[in-house]
Amino acid sequence: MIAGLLACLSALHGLDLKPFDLDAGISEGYNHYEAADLNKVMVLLEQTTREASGFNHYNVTGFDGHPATQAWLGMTKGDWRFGLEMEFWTETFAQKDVPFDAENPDRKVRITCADLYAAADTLSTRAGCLDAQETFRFIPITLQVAWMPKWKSWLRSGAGYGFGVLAGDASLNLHTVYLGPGSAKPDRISLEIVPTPLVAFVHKAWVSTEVLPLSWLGFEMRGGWRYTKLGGLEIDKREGESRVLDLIFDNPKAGDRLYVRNPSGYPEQTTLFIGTPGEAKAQSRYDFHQVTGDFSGWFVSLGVNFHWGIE
Amino acid sequence: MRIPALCLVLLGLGGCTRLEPDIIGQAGSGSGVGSDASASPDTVLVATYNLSIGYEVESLIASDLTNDTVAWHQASRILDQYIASRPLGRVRAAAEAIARHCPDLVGLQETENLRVTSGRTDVPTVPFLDSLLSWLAAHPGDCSRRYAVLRSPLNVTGRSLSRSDRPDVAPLGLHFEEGNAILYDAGQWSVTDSSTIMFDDLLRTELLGKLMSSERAVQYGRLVHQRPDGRRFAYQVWNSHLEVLSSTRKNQAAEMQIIMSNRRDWSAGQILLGDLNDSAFSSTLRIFTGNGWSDAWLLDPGSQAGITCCASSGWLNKVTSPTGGKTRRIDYILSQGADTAFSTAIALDSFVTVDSGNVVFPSDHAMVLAKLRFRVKVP
Repeated sequence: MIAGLLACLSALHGLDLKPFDLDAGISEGYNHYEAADLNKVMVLLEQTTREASGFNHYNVTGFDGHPATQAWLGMTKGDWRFGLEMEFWTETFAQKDVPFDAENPDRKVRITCADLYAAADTLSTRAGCLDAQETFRFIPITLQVAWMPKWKSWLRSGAGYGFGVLAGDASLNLHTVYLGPGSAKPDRISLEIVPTPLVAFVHKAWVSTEVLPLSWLGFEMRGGWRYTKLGGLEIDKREGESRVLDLIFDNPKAGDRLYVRNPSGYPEQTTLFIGTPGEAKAQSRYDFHQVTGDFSGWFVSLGVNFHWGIE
Repeated sequence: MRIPALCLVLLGLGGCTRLEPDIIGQAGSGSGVGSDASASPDTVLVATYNLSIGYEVESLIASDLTNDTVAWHQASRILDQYIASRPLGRVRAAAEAIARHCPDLVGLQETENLRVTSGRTDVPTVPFLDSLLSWLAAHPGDCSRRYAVLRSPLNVTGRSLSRSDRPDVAPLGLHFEEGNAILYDAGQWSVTDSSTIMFDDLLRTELLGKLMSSERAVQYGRLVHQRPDGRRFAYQVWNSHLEVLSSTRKNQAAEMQIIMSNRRDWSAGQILLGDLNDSAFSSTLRIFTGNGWSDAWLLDPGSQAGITCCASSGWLNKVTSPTGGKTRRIDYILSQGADTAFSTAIALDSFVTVDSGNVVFPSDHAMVLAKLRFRVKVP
């Protein structure tokens, strides 16, 4: 597409780009970032479950990167390479069988959902189990230019820069079963979370080496730095109900944003707050920091490229 | 016969405590914030008492109360518990405890008013505060105080529940209120300012099938103590009940500290009463102690462990041990400007016999008392 576009542009301007290589490639790699706010959210969720009545909390092991798949389409003309890259960031966190037991909130012994199901008929108050799944789906798209001189017939090496946008969403699904006589029916909730604004800019810079065992086949290794930051996260859609989630996060609804909140003068005492900007502003005894998605960090990838010479 | 016998046993174990009029200990001094050694001293006896509501409500959270039939059954079950807990007897026992110790001020939490407006005639209407005041007025004992109350109703809700599976059953109509209150001796004290300040961080849950906030707020009263010798002392009194959920509780504690700091009158003695729902050296309590508040119990621990809550046998509060199965100290009297606290005590000397024949405390909390000596100048 890009090559075609450039060919059209060159034709319009009377430039003769030929000969050039039409390129396509696919690569696998790893993106690292600090994602300080998102990690903070995970820690606060862990803290909430630990403090909530009778929960077996889950453990946060760190959310600082993920594998990524990239697809590339472009052209190479002399020492220069132009193209469009699309990345696919998809990550799923799942936590199954998280039990809660309001009957014994101070218990020290870890219990399981199996324990609660086995004792369901004898529970005098309310207990239950929940399954949670969080999924992130983000797609950065960048227009790229790289200086990639051919040092040997089988070797290209150089550096590049890309500029584009990042868009996507995240979802949280929670399924809760309540146990005990007269308990509520199981409930299920799904929250779609989108960045605000919907797209964020992406900058990428890298160094790259491509080994060409054949004129039309190359293996490219890239390493570099990416800068991108989501301004905030907002609930776009809510479907279903959850008594547990509504209790802890005060009935989250579409239009609510995610904040880290602390009482003024107590910066270390942070909690997660989900609400509208107006609701946040109304809480004058608190300082609010909107949860951002800082995905800046290093990346590496290893890919395979195909080149077709256009005469 | 059972009550005196039990009380004798408890007395032997230090469970039933009666405050003595004399100073029985001066274990330490207050923070000194707001105090003035040259000012005339004023000694006041204050108490905090969570009256508890007498039935378990945890099940309300996880029950489908949007379904009228389910709600009808849940409400009926709770009403049965309520009747069996002898609410009038419990309130009278609480009043007896207050009359026996005769404090100047009492911070009350979980005061309630449950009324059944239709569908059942066997549920007694016992507005806790009105019943408490009536009983105190009619049975003052040796306590010559004329108690009045600063009210702070917070949860107010009502609902009519019909059984869709039994249209022949009359709808059950309910009205519920719950809140905090400050009891004071109107003969020696006057109120110059009062308000109820809601916390920003509140848990919202369903009560009687309606989504509502928990009853957490700071109740504030500025009261002036008029001594018989003509001297006057001003106090800012703060009364609250913090949330059970840890993160919310700590936020509410910080909010309370912010509220108190913003309204601080440096010429007045400071008294904080409440069910703070956390242990003495927890991060919740450190928010207060780190801002100049002194825990009266630590100033004068006395001979008791200070345990105030909660009856392990549930809402019936069985008297099974010197502490009635209570295991935690979560009810506090904090002060600023007091240079001495003495005669701190946990009152475990009032009981009521419920339908099952069990002898129970009026609440699953114990009343905490402390005599505080302030040296504050009043303009």
